[in-house]
Amino acid sequence: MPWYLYIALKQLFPSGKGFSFFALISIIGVSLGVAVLLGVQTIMNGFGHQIRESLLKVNGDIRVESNRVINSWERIEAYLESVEGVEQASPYAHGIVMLQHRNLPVFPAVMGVDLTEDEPFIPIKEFLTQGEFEDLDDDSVFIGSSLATRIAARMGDTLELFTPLMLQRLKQDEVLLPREVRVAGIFQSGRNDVDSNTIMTSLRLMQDLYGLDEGIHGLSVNVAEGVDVSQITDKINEHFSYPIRAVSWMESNRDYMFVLQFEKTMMTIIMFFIILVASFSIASSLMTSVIRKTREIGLLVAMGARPRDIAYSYCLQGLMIGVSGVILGIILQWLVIHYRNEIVWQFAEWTNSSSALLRFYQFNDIPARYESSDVHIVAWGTIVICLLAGLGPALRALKLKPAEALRSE
Amino acid sequence: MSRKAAKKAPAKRQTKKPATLLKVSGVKKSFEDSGKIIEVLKGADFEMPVSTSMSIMGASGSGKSTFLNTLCGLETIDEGTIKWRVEKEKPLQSISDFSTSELARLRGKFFGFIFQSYHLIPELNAIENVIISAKLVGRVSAETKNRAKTLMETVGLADRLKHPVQKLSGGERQRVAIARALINDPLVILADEPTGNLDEHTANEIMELLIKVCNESRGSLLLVTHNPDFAKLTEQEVHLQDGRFI
Repeated sequence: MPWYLYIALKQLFPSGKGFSFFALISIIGVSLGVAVLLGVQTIMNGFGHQIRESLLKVNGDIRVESNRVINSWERIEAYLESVEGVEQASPYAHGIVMLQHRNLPVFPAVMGVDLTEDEPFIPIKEFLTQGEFEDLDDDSVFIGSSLATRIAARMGDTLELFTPLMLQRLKQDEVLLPREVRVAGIFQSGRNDVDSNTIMTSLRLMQDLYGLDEGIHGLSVNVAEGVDVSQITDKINEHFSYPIRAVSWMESNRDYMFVLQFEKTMMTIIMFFIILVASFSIASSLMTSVIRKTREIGLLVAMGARPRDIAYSYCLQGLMIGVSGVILGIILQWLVIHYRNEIVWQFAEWTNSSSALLRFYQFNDIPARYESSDVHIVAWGTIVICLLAGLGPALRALKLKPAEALRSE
Repeated sequence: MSRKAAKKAPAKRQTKKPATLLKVSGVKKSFEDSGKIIEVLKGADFEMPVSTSMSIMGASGSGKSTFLNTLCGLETIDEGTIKWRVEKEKPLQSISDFSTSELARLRGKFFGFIFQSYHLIPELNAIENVIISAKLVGRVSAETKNRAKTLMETVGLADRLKHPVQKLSGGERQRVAIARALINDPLVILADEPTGNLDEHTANEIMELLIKVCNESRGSLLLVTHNPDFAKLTEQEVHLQDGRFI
């Protein structure tokens, strides 16, 4: 072992003491910073992933739409399904209706899906909390759980639907009769905006309600796992001309995705300051150590040490604090993330805020997702910062004149 | 007490035309203090034969420590030359010809230092303080560790090997410093007031030990002291006065 590494180790972990107070405090400071930073990033990643997953489930990977009704959509569907990487292309029609139950009107979005598909592009079967997918027909609907609660609709209840087409007919003095549909199922997608404001119908019922005949509003495309969605979107857009246009889920949720990424970036910047503060304390402690050990530095030079090796010794101390802090920090954050739900619910219990947590955040489990790039950036970033923290004291040690250092009190 | 030490002084070595180990010619050194130039060495000339012991005496502030520091390149000189016979068969070499790395290597292998304030490293225990000097010149073998133990036995600290140095007495610390100075088997031991911080009894013990270990080793001793009794223990005495040797 080179002597400067030996001295660095001994200054941090002196013989007979185990730990120097300075080393202990510095390592704890860095490990807390790393644990908090990685912990926040992991939770943010978890939320982001959950949101992306729910966006994908509800919208599909790509939507092929037009600004008018698409009538001869079968040839579009055939092309889409022929594109390499595309798993499924499903027609849909969507819009807004007025729904009335027990004289309580609401205006939910309606999504009409093709029931002839083995698996509809929206995983309705997975979302259903009551009813069976097979029960959905042209006279029934599935209703979002929050919406069902709002209008007190239960399985088997009859709902009245009014559509914009009916308003047109009303203008032409036609008798306006609502379309009566039965509640065949209640679903919960996990997205409150969907569950509180959406009903699902068969494509045929939606075509009837909107007077589309055989037309549709668009096709939802699901691609195979690992396939580049943007690439396929571009390929589809190259094939079709205006007004047919493919939009990827990232593009249609661009603002949402930007906010998610922006939040994560801001959190990372704020959290990095914690590490920066810890590094300043390391620099300050090491600088104090250089001043306190001026005579020792002079002694080492007198005994044959090269000044640059003494500087290495101080840089190494910063490096060792950084590496130890990162390792401890990663272990600490792993423990916190592993027991995150227990910790949060215990805290909620102590503060009597369990119900509020459920009401406002709508989760039972805090999502977490590790991304190796985050761990790499935090770990290496911290080590570099700690190394730089040791550089200032090292430069001071380098500039010391040995004879003056030996004379210093 | 110091007379007792003087009585125990070994017989001075009989040498015929001894080769020169160190030759100092016209060394000048000045310091600037608040814009004022203070001349410490004003053309010091000095010569030391190989395998001998010499003491430099002088009043406080006469430049004894500065002179010692200039000899090993810890302090740069303004004028003059300092030449050492680093290897037996080779001519004297000026320390100004050595690069920083060569000078560091020279200090590690050629010189052994003993200071008034011991200068032990508090994070290391007693034997580690001895071994560090060997580590600095790249000696880390088991043989080095054995030699450190032997030296600790020689200085009477065989039972204090792993003792924290803060818990050692002043005399014990200086014994550790002596062992440290000898670990690399240096050609010259530079001792700067090694008994300055010790009581009379301990000071005598340390001086006896120092003279003994120097005689047993192949090296020379250059002792800075203002104690005339201790100076008499060495083979030659020189006086530094007003920046020059008289």
